Amino acid sequence: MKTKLYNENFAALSTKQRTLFTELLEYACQSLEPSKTKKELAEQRYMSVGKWLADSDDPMFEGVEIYPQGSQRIGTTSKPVFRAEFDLDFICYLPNAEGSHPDICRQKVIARIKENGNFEDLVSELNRGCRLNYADEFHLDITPAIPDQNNANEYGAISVPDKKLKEWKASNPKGYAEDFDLIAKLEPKYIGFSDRMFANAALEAKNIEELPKHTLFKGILRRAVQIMKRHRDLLFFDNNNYDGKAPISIIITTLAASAYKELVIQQSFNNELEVLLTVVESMTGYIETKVVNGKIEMWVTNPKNRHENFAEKWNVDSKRVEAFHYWHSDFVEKLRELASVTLLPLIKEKLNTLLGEGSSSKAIEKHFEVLNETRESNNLFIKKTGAISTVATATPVKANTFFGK
Amino acid sequence: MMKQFTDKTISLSKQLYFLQAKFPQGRGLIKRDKLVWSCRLGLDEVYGNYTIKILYDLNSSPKVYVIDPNLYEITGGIEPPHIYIFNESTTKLCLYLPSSDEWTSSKFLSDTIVPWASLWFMYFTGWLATGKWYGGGEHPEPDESFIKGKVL
Repeated sequence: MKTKLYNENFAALSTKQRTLFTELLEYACQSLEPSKTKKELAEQRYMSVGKWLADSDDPMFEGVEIYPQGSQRIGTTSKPVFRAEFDLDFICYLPNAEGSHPDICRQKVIARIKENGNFEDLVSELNRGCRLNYADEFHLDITPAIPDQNNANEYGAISVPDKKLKEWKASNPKGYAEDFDLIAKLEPKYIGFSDRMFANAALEAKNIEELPKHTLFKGILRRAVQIMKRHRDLLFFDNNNYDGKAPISIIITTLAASAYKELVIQQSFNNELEVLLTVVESMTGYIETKVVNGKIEMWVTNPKNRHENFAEKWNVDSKRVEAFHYWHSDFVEKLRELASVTLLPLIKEKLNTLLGEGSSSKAIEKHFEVLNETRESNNLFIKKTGAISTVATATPVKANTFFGK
Repeated sequence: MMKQFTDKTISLSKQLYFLQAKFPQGRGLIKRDKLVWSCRLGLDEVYGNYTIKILYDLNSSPKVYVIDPNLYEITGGIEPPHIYIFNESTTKLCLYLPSSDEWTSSKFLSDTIVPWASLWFMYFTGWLATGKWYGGGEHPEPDESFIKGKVL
């Protein structure tokens, strides 16, 4: 596993500094996710679409089930750049539509949705299905699916229309998501900190604040994927050279998950930031090379279907391969630059280039919100050096009101 | 504005003693009933290091100046919130609500003014980063002379 990025740039930083980076990245990711209210609203909306379809007299809709797929299902949603609407993907599973032509099936779904006055004006056609556009909130993208036609012979397998709507193609978003969940749940091992040792260390430590916070990221793998997708979106926004060639989310997600899965088993880490950076640095090693029909091909294999290559297009469009590596090396470089600054305003500038102005501002804001909660509960202290700390000293910071212009 | 001079008033020598005890890197003296104390506040690598100077006598409220670095240069002349004087040569901070009991002469500078200055610097770096002041506070009433001069 590659740990150069961490060792050469982050290892020598103070624990406080690394903790701050972890904290700010976590807060920035939080700002990239839909709010709880938005999530609930999306849920209500897709359920009502499902109900509407189920209420149809057409037998094709009998037993219909709508369920989330993609980033919102696996918890790696990233707010689109310069657009208010989140993209949320759903499968519209139609067990009774087996035997129908994919395009007819798709058209019937669209027609049925349009019959409802509430949805009519929101629907637009997509290649594989349709979109309900709730302005300023989200796009609900719905893909029809039928029981597995491709003998995938595994849990969750379904078939969805292919891009040209000529045939049904194997897919398994449920299986993929459950696989991802299992990997994301794996806990990295930390050097010198088994649970018991951690507790003892905490008791003995003179300065509790200096201890690494092991649970700060809401799931390192998910956060890593979110940050990567966000950076990709920013990097390729308005980029004419790579128009439409940016690495697709499933490739980034799959490579990151493969790296994470292996390294949490093989390696011990000093802190969460090291895990994240090692995932980033190692992920390119999971692009496979296979010989198919006498030709060398690049593969990012679907872990739930070894016949599916997520990077299929790389083998016919080298610009996409180039775009992937352009993104990856830029991402590594931006992370390296982040480690080169220490003052908060400079950290903010580096975060701008990594995650965008909006989310880095929100991260700083949240950082101060947390400080203010501590201040309001009178749990701030000043050290002899003049530094403000949450570690108790003889001098608590008393309540004050800044005054003046 | 001035608080009642009471028995509880802490003498300048006692103030200086505690400033030095709590922040040993500081330097100060009392001359003609005036306390002058300057001290480096090393917040950390994230929030930076600053040197402040406090001027205080028992007839007025403490005045807090930033000696180093030159904040006017750092901000390019843009005035941060909660400041009394801000120009090339002088930066004077507003750390508490006047005529409240946040500060009185019966309180220790080392327990109030100094921690508030450090806190001010933390919010100052936040303000440098995003242009927002996260530390709260109050803004003074519009200038009295302005109100007087207002044409009704």
